[in-house]
Amino acid sequence: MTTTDVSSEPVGVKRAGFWRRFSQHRVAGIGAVTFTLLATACYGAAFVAPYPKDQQNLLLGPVPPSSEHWLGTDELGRDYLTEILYAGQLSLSLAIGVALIATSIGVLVGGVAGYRGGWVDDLFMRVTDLFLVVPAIALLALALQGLGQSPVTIVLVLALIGWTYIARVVRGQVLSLREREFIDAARVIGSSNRQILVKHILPNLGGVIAVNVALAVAGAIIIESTLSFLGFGVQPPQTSWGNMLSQASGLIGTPKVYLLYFPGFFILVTVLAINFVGDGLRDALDPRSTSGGSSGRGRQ
Amino acid sequence: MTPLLEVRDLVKEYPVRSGVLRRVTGSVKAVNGVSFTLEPGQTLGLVGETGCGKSSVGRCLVNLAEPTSGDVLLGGQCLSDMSPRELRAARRRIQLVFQDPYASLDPRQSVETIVSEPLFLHGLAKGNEAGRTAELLDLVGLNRSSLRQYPHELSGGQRQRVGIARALALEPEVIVLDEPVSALDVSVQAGILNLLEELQNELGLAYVFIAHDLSVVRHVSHQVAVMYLGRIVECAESDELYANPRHPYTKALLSAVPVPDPRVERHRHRILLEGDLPSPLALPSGCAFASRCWKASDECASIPTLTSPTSDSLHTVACHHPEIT
Amino acid sequence: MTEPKDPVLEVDQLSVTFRARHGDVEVLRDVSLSIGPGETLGVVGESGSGKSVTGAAIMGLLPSNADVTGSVRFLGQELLGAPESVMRDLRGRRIAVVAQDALTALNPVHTVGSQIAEAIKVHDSGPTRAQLRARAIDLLDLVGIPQPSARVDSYPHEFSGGMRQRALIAMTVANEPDLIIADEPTTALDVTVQAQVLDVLARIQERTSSSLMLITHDLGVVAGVADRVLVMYSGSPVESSDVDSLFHATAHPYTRGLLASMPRIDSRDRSVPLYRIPGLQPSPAQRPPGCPFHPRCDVAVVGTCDVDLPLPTLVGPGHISACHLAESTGGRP
Repeated sequence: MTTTDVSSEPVGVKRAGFWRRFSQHRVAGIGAVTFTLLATACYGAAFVAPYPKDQQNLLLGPVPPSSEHWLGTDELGRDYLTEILYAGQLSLSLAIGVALIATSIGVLVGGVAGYRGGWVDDLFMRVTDLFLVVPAIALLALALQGLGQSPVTIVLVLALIGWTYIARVVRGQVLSLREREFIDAARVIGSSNRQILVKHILPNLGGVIAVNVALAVAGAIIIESTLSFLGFGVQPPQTSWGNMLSQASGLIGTPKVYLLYFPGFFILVTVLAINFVGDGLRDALDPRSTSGGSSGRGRQ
Repeated sequence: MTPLLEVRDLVKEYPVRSGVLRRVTGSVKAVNGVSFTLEPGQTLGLVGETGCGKSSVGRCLVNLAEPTSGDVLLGGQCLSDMSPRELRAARRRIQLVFQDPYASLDPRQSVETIVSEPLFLHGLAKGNEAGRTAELLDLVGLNRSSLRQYPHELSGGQRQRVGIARALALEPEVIVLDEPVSALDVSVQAGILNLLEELQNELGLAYVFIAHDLSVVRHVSHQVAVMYLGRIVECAESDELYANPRHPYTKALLSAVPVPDPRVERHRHRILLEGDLPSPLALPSGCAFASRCWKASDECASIPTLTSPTSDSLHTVACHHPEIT
Repeated sequence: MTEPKDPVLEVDQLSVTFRARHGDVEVLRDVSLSIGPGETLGVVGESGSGKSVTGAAIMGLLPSNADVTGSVRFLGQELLGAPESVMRDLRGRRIAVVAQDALTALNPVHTVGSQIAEAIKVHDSGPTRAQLRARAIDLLDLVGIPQPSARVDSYPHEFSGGMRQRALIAMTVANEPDLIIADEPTTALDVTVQAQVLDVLARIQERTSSSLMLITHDLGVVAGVADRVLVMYSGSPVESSDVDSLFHATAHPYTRGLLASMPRIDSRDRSVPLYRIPGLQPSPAQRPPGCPFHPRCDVAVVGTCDVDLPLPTLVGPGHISACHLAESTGGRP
């Protein structure tokens, strides 16, 4: 064969640039580490927490942070750090549950709408619009009054409101992917629609989905906290960061204000950490954000 | 003898939608009655400028687009009559190489995955897919180390070779190439053109080579068909067309192509066309080229058909005033 | 060989380095050229050769992280290091730039006529509205747009691609510049439209005696339009001569390889495959030591071509080649 292509380009990175770029993003790294530590501490509270859950010490009452109780104690003398860690389990689980369900619905609706186009697309998008138009918090409050306020209900209702954003994003992405020549190429070699969706479209959605899951988790934590703070979400005796905030709401200006600050601080740090990770994922999606790499098109 | 590939009166219309409800308000006749045949081992060059419909023809040939009317026959069998299963089998006989070497490869798949995908889809080389994939890379002149690489790590020429390897995987008899070298630099282009020629000689492939670059088309084609606004206006053996163009548009087209030789250029007479391409939404009745043709007369209000004005039946022109030299 | 008149543009040892976080990138190395009055210079190269950077450097349109050394003299005036106010005054008036993509270069919300008038007004506040309109119509007619007095009030999207490019050229040369720099003006156009645009450029040159620097990858275009040619490879000039000598007395292996790899419309010898230059043009980061072309060169001499950068050698009257194997005719290039 006389026409061998002699390339002077070195054999480069194995994986497509996305994960490589993500791992180089310092802020995202900090976020990832922070979130992992937090999540481990919360879910591993049984091993990590200094005191058993709900261990009351009525004689002690609420005391500010000390060497025995790093974050102090609450009204019933329970170690606050322990309570926050256990509450974190519920807050995080709710948020992750909402994010996963909302993303699943969103990807399904957006993906099918984007790929099929035509009347299917129109129909699905009008439904999405319907969901978007309704004021979320009000609907939520009503739904929870009606359906009861168990965590499962909360997750389902929040997910049913939250999927619309992801559906739009995914639909847009699928629309642009659908027109790409490599999709045509897959058709020409004989792939069926299902095979194209699974082998070509879904993997190329991975980045977008990852970013949105991260942001959805952050958003869900905030919404759940807001709801619980307002009294519509998690109800005592179950604790979440949100309703811990609620119970401490009147304490500004008093010496017990730390009961308010600490859950708030945990919410803040968690949401920030997730947002940093989300930023890193989003930057990794954009091929132009790196130095080097031969992702350019142009004439060669 | 049934031709390997035959196209009969192919018409492809695209609806134009406008308004809030996206109603169909008109249509664009991208392809307006195209016919040709192709035999094994032969290359038909399909040339024309923007809007002539050559890419639409290419898409219809591989069933990426459904013809509005007319037939595409592979080995005598009409594509639109085929059941989905027959269509899938037909894909093994006719394949397509795309123009943009970057966009036609899935950026998340390795070269090995891309080239072996057709093998898995159709159950070819069962148990030895990896070996066959490596062989295909050899065939197109790519280093086997490229198997593990991703499209963004390859040069334009290498990516195009991957596209060709993928097309060859199903062992087709016909390959449609849609502007396969337009996005490549001149020195890379030559390598791909040589490769295509070698493959044709070795494997007996037939090509439909769609391009706008007339110099490239001359180099690869045995037969050339010139398209204008959805119709073939002239069709002849390659050397004959370039030596004796009969249609005014072909003459203008050929006169406009630069030749890399200043002595030749100095003595050339360039025919400059007046006006612009008529809008495809409102095609003129009669000969579509009449509005810009210096030979136009009353006769040209009727559509000319593709006939041979001389005894040379291989050279056909669709013109009321063809050049007879 | 002495030039009968003073050159309009003289570039001497122009080098451009981009400063970047991960290291400096040398995109141009010692580019020298000159264009006489009314002359057309074709600057030819493949993508990545640095030909567009050359045009941008001359116009002072490089980004701020670019280090430019050497000399660029326009009608005797040094442009490198000149204050922006001087450059702004020259641009559009004495030096014009024709861009590749007319669709994005024209403002969609203004009529073509008003944009041409604007181009004139920026440099000359004298003419009245009526005079400006008359000039615009005259220019549209010069570039071959039919019914110019009606078309002067049309918007860019109402023109076809070829007509838009011609309208853009009209706008660009409205002030009868001394030098026109056209960067790939016909690359994206159909060949019949390309012929029209090149014809327009020729007509304008006839009327205004402008010099033209035509940057392109297409040697065919250059053969038909240029008086002199400069071939660039990986940021360096490799051959420079009058157009006839470049094609018929080629003195550099890269140029030779390029010509041999081009299919031609006027002949087809089926017994010979196209010549293919092996390998790829290196990016600035991957440039080898010595001659940038030597890894792909079929006559490279080990020990010379891979060690030293070849100096420009005079191989004929006005014909320079940067090749160790070029035979000098004596005299300084």
